[in-house]
Amino acid sequence: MEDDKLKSLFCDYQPRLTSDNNFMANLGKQLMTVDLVKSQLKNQQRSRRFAALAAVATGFVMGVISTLCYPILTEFIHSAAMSSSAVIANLIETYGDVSIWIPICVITMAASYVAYDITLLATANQNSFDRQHPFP
Amino acid sequence: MNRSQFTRHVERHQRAVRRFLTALCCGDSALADDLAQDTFIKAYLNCNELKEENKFQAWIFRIAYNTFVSNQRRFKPYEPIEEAYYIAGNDSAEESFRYQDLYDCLKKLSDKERYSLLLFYMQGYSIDEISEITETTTDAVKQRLSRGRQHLKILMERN
Repeated sequence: MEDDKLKSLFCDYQPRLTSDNNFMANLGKQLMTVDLVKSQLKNQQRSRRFAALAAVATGFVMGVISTLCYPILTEFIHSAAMSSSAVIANLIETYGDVSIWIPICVITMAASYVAYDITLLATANQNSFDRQHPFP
Repeated sequence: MNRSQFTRHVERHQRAVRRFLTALCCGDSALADDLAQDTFIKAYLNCNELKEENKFQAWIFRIAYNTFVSNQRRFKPYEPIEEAYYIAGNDSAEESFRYQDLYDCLKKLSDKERYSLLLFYMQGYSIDEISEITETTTDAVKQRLSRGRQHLKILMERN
């Protein structure tokens, strides 16, 4: 078969397609859904970033507070060691620093986690409010 | 590219894409429409990748081709139920059977031969453009076109 024949065969090919309007309407709906999902993902990402920032800030603040309180805590531990028996005093002398740092770490981590969670929850609520009330 | 810009491009090219996919799916217009929808959604999701808007058509045909190929890989080809052809649809009988011979011939070609022929003869793409769309070498495209032509010739003569 010659090239021209093939060309004319395919150029004349005009199959009956479904209505353009229906096709575009369906596509429009799907594109709208894509946009909605995209914006939700974007919001989620923003919330997570914001929550991570809040957690870091909380951790930093807790670190500053711990540093400021450290001398007071050390003094308190030492005075407790003085007033207790020799064995307990020895234990406090050996593990004094550890016994201060462990609660500081635990409290800092818990505070950061809570800050992360609360920020995430707050921003999620804000996002759902925005979705429900899209117009001012 | 925002949604309205994208929609404008789609409005301009959707008929050509659907026509190409209908021929590629050997007349299965429902499947062709589904693939066309998938094609445009994929394109919309990746429209930031398109640097030159004047290359939209070639880009969309590349996505359509990839969508068709991945659909072929995902679903095993099935034999259509012959009786289904006779169930009255919206189309007139004449319209339904108008291209039946062409579809029968296209069905017997390999996928590679079919889309090479369709891109070349139906869409008027050059061999270089087809090799870009299908991500193959120009030699491979030439070979597929030549084999496809021969096969189609034999099949059309037989029909």
